[in-house]
Amino acid sequence: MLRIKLFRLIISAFIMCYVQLVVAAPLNIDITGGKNVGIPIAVLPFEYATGSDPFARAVETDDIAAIIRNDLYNSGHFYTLDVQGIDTNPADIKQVDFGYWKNFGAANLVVGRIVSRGGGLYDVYFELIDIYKGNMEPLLNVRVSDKYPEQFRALAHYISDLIFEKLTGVRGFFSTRIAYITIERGKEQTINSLYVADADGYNSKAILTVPYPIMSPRWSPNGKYIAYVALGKQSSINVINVTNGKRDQLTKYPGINGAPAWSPDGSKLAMVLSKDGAPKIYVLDLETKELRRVTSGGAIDTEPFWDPNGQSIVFTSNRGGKPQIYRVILQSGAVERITYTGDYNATPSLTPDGKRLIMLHQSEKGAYNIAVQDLNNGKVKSITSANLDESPTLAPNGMMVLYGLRDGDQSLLGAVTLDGKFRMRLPLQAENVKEPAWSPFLLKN
Amino acid sequence: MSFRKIVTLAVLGGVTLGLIGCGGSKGANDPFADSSEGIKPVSGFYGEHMSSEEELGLLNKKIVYFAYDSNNLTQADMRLLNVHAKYLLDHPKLDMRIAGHTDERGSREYNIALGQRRADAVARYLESKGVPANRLHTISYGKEQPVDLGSGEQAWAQNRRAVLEYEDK
Repeated sequence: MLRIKLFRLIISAFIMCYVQLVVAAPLNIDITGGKNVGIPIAVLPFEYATGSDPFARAVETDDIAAIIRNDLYNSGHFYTLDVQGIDTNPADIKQVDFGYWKNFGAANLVVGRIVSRGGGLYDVYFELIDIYKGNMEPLLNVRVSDKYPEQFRALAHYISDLIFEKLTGVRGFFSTRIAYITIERGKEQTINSLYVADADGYNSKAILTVPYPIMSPRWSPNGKYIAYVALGKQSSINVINVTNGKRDQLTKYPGINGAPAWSPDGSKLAMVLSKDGAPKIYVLDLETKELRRVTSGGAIDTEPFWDPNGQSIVFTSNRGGKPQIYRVILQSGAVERITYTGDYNATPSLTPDGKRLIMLHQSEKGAYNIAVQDLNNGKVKSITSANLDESPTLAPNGMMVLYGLRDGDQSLLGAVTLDGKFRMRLPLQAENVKEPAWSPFLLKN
Repeated sequence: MSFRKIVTLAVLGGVTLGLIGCGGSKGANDPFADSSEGIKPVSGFYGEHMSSEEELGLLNKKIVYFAYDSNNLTQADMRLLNVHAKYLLDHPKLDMRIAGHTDERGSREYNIALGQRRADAVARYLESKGVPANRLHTISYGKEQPVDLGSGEQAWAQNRRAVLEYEDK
């Protein structure tokens, strides 16, 4: 008996390791194979200099250049060139051989250095150089002062944000965070955890671990709180403080308490309650605690998502027979249907400009995929292609979608650009991960 | 489970085990844990004939299964729920918790709504048989608590269900 148990333990340990490898491996694998997607950029290793402190030694730190490369590549908008073993290593634009980098295929070049200031503090310099511009002014020339090595990872994301914005004109999301839920199924009980992590999947930390299912995490617009649904003996909507883990219960009515959605200004929470019959959309004023029902009728209404202007809410409803996306104008209560392609459209969200709808869409083959609908012309395009994709959540810059997917018995998180050209899987070290939620832009750095 | 079965069987004076349906839940509030609580058949309640063996079998069955995208109760489901309605009426100190579940396809929150419809369908039926609404507590777990973790029609059929559980007030 004991031997069997031990054997099982070894087997499961082996499986766990294998699973971790499998999950971690796709970090740099482009599933769609669109290898040359985006702007070609070379990010050179950051040179280490002791500066004014001759006794300083190189410290073991996160490799800033590697993090920047990873960020830019995984955004789907850059093609990061392999610079291993190259024989030139310019420290600034004056040392750059433009002809060499043109031949190398780089449109842009990033060079940088880390200078010790003593006392464990460092200054980090970097330049972003346009290889084709033909003058000696870098696009970016930035110095970040007084950083400890533990801050280098966050600093690298910040540099990625600056580069991304300079070259695409859109703010980068590399300093944002994600939340997601993990499930560990044990013999006696199932453990459900709410995690937060950096946008690239690193620095993950469980902020809530409970024996009952939890669902639908949503970041508050200031990034300080996450609303979520708990399915204990009764369902409830709760808010957790991301920093200290303190929890507050907001609603616990009979039946459904679900699908929380913060208003853009953070003063209200839309939600779904079935206390008066069918599941309907309600808006709770978080200050006055006033609860207002905003949809009516006997059909299912769920999954509210606020229009960025705060004037209307899009939601899923089966009032026409099948689940489709509708919009309710909050002032008048008027409802209009906005999806007409296919028999199953759900989980709506809108891009920050309000012009495109992201949703869960059932294809003609019956697969559940993430799709984008242009709200001007109604055209729908699927951007994923597995069987059971779900829970799309949009990056705060509106350029990428994180979503849940199934691979065999595993639940994983995937990321895809809005045009569907670049897809990857997140390197999270858990067996069953579901329901990602992308944070808003965070005021930090 | 088997201990409970044996106790209840003893009270009734013996029926075959084969009649007893598949796994109910194992809550501490299970009425069958108390051997003094036997079944008191109320003649005419069902409006149809039912042997005490069948009644016991149905009472041990606490799962109602549903077709895809449906919360319709079949004749067999109603026969099952009749037995539970009577049991609730016979035992006023017990409440019932009804949990609705769905298969894994589609949106999680939409599935919560579908699961709630299943739990509500069961609750409404029990109400129609005279059980007060305030003794019936519904919750939907949507697709969050599958019993069969696989994919495919067989697993999905197992997961589309409403689970009944007796609990003390």
